[in-house]
Amino acid sequence: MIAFLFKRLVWGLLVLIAVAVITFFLSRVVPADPAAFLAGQNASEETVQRIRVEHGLDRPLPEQFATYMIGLAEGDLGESIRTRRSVSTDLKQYLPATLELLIVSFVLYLAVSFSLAVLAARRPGGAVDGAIRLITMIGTGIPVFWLGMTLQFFFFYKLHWLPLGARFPIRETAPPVISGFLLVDSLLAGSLSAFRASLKHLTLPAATIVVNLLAVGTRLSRAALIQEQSRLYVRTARGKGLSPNRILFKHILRNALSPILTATTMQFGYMISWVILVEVIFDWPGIGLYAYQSFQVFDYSPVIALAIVSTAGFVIINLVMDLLYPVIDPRVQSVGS
Amino acid sequence: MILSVRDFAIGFQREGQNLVAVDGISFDVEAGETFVIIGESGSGKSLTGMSIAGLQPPTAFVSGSIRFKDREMLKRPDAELRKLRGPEIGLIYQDPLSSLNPVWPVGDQIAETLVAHGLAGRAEARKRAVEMLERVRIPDPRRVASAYPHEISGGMRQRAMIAMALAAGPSLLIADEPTTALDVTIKAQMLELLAELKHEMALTIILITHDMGVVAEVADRILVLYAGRIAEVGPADSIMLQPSHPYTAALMTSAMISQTPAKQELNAIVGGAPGLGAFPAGCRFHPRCPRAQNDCKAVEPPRRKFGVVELACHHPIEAAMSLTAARS
Ligand SMILES: Nc1ncnc2c1ncn2[C@@H]1O[C@H](COP(=O)(O)OP(=O)(O)OP(=O)(O)O)[C@@H](O)[C@H]1O
Ligand code: SF4
Ligand SMILES: [Mg+2]
Repeated sequence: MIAFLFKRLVWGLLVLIAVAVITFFLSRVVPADPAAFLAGQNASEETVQRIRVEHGLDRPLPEQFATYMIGLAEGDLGESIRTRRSVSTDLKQYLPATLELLIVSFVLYLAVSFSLAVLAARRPGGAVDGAIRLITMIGTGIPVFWLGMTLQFFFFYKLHWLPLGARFPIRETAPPVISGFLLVDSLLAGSLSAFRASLKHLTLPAATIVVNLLAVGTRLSRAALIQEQSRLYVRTARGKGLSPNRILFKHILRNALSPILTATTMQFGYMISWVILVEVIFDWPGIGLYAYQSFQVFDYSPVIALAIVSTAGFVIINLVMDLLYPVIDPRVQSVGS
Repeated sequence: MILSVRDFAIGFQREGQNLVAVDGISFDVEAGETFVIIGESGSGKSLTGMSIAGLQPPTAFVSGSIRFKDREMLKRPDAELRKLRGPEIGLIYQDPLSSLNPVWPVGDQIAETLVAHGLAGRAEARKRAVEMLERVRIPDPRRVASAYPHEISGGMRQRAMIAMALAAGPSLLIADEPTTALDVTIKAQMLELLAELKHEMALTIILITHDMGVVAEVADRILVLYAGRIAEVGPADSIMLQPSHPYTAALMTSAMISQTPAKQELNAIVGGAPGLGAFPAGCRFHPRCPRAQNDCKAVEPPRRKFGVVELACHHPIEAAMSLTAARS
């Protein structure tokens, strides 16, 4: 078990290093000069040069790379030219927003796809199954930005039910930052109205992510459920006189969990990449929007940091899932073997 | 009489055609007996057995009547049938490993029968599960109760299945090839156990099998199915030792000649059993029957009394010559 964990951690580290190296060189081959960008159109050559020197951009590439990697090893993700702060400081500010959106979307995604799958698997090939398949497919077929904008159009411009974007109403004061999760912090501050406001802001971005992933998620869960339904232990359960609901919830679901978990892990990867796009659409102040804004001015470090952080997220999720398998399925002795 | 089956038929719709798998069979099972159903693969044994418990496939159409303790089973809503499965009818199957839920401890699966039927609370049910495991002669019932199915041996699993089927105290046990997956010694132990439990718990057993060795061991009465029809039904002794129906005779002879595993024994008769939807006209056995004559091809033999048995055959074997006739 320990050996397995160690192996996976080393492996995860290697992946992270690889991602850092690749994104570093990718960002450097872009033929743009962030210093010039930052200095503005009317800046003198001296100013631009000064900024270059300040950020080490005048150094030869191998040296820049070495400096960057050494910094990384010490946990230093570099500096943002745009915000003039260390990337780590920026991340501390923006990461909770992303995590909150990600977690809410993920829970919603699990709940909705699972419920739909249960409904669909009741009678495979039936009308309900067909309707669910059609609707979720449409949801996935719509491009994310278009979906996001359509939702904004209806729920903001037309119905005035939900805000256009951001995490919290500009004119109101947000609860004091404790966890960084507004839903949690507003409850900690004892403010139900702040909680409701945060929830409203979360709704559209989360819905956009969930709708986009629903078709695949539902299909995978449905397939897992249908496969489990035909297993012999289900016949045994019927033979014991159990009700269909009991058979579904006590026997089938538990067994369908492993395949669903596998599928979900993969979905989580997609979710991380959609979050970035959705943050841009909904002006959601998370690391996606942060990296996007940095990218626009060729400010590299935040972009590389985003790549590293999201890869780390994916590595961690994979590890957690691997640790969960033996808990869910006693036949999986040790994940290491 | 605990069970009475009358003109029971079950079939499936395939490509707009009605394919009848079991075609109007009738038989009675007396309380306390071991009633064995034998026949080749596809003859309809499992469908019959499952239908008795109301567990026929949802896609099947059925007709006729199955009365269990004076309750009509075929037209009963599932919610009511459920109340009978467990407390009145127990079921065990061929493959205990896949028939047990892989992610539940064995003891909990046994206890669940009691809990689901409201016969015991959770703690009480667990205790009774361990007692049941003891009852099916499992040496270390506590350990087995907390083990997962994959952690115990095949023989243990089948015992656990029996414990589960009998936990709620049914009067009828339907066992569909319970020994097929087990090796010879375990098989013998299992039959012994069933016989003892039958005695202790006043069970009626309907045993479905391919295995002539098993039949000889336990049967009180035997029903021989061929292609969804009854070939012969009667007391075990007479059917085993002096089969009157040519098909039964062929089964017994091939079982005696070959010591090969059960499945092949039955199929050792010349030719194969006809598949669903391809049953021949007249007597369904006639293409393979050594005694077949012209009337067999045209006219389906009616069921009739013949000595101590009932059979469906135009030219049954007279008692004195049964085995020699079958061999020729
Ligand atoms: N759900 C189903 N749908 C369609 N046909 C079925 C279904 N279940 C059984 N059959 C068919 O009905 C016939 C009888 O099946 P059954 O399972 O009763 O046979 P069996 O005598 O138990 O055979 P075996 O010894 O192989 O278990 C077979 O031809 C089988 O293919
Ligand atoms: S009716 Fe004819 S074909 Fe059928 S078993 Fe009897 S003798 Fe054979
Ligand atoms: Mg069968």
